[in-house]
Amino acid sequence: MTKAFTFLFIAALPFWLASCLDSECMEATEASVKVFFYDCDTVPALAVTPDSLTLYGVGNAVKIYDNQKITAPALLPLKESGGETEFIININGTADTVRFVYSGSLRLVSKECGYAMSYAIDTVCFTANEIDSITITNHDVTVQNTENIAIFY
Amino acid sequence: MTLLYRTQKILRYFISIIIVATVWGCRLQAQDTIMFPLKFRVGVELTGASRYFYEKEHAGLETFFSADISEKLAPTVIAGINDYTYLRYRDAGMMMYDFRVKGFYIKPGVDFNLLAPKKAGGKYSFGVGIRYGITGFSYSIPEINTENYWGRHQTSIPVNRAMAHYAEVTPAIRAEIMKNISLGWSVSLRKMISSGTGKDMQPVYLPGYGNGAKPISFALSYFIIWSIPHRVKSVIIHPEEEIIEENVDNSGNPPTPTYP
Repeated sequence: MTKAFTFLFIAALPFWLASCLDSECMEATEASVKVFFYDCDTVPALAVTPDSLTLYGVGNAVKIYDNQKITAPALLPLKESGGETEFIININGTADTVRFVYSGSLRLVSKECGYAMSYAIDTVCFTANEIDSITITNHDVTVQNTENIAIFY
Repeated sequence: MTLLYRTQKILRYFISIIIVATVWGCRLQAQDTIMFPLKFRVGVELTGASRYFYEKEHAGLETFFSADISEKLAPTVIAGINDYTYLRYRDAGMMMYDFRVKGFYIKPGVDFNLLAPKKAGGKYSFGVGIRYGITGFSYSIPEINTENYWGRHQTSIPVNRAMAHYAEVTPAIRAEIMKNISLGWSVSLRKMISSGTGKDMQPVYLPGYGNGAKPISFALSYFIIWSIPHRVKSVIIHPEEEIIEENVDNSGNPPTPTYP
């Protein structure tokens, strides 16, 4: 009996050591506004990505998309520190400004991935050069791949 | 004369029956009962207590109290304290967060010993425990760093206090290694009932539970236990056990009688 118990006692050691190991982050953490583009001339409006899209944040010289054809959706990362973010969206050579007003909240993704922001869009303002209209389809901006904004052009 | 003779004869019968019954009764008791020592137990969890020596960010102590009320059943209380700092890095250049927690926990429950009393003998236990865990804790996150297209953003969460509840099932073994000193280990499967912090800010580490962000947590614990016998109970052994152990050999056949 004592031998059996000693064996079981020692047998548990590797499992205990394995339980001490940290694992890697395997989840998506960055919540971006998911934008889909639609042709406003068709009824009903067809999802059509622009032939050329250039996109960057106002105050940031780094281009998110640089004169390229994308596969929908376009991902627009919001500023984590503030409640407003502006983007320049250049669709087929014509530029517009789109401003998001939102609130942000912090949440734990997991022990491995740490904390991340998620947002709730309040309003969207835009200039109407190439853009015809914008609809907020889902106010909650999370890591889920669901449409937040529909841009009709 | 005949009446007196008959009365004496009847008395002799009665006395004989009483003597035979008494002897038979004693024989039955000797065969079918064992004296089982019931004990109080006090233990200390070894991995948590020793962890501080190689991981200064983790200080903790867990103690274990139980009292046998029968050869199968022992009400148990586990109590502990924890002070833990967990730093998570994405790479050498960026710390993701610095989580700090202090707290105490108490887990009342019951341990069931599944070993037959004759095998257990008050020295061995193989069974399962069921407990309800309550943790009172305070936590803070002095630094949280996130990074996206707009650069790095730093924020913090001040000290918050909360109370968490969870259930625990604990298969465990224990063996006496010397008189009244036992070693034991247990596997704990814990199910969160409420972390007390809301669904978006579950504690990265919850004293007594582990990773509070997971609905189910798993842990191994090693205990050293001091036993204090407080009572001896006479336990009736099922007669079939005796017959099986005495009359059946390893092949399952009754032993062949041998003659000199």
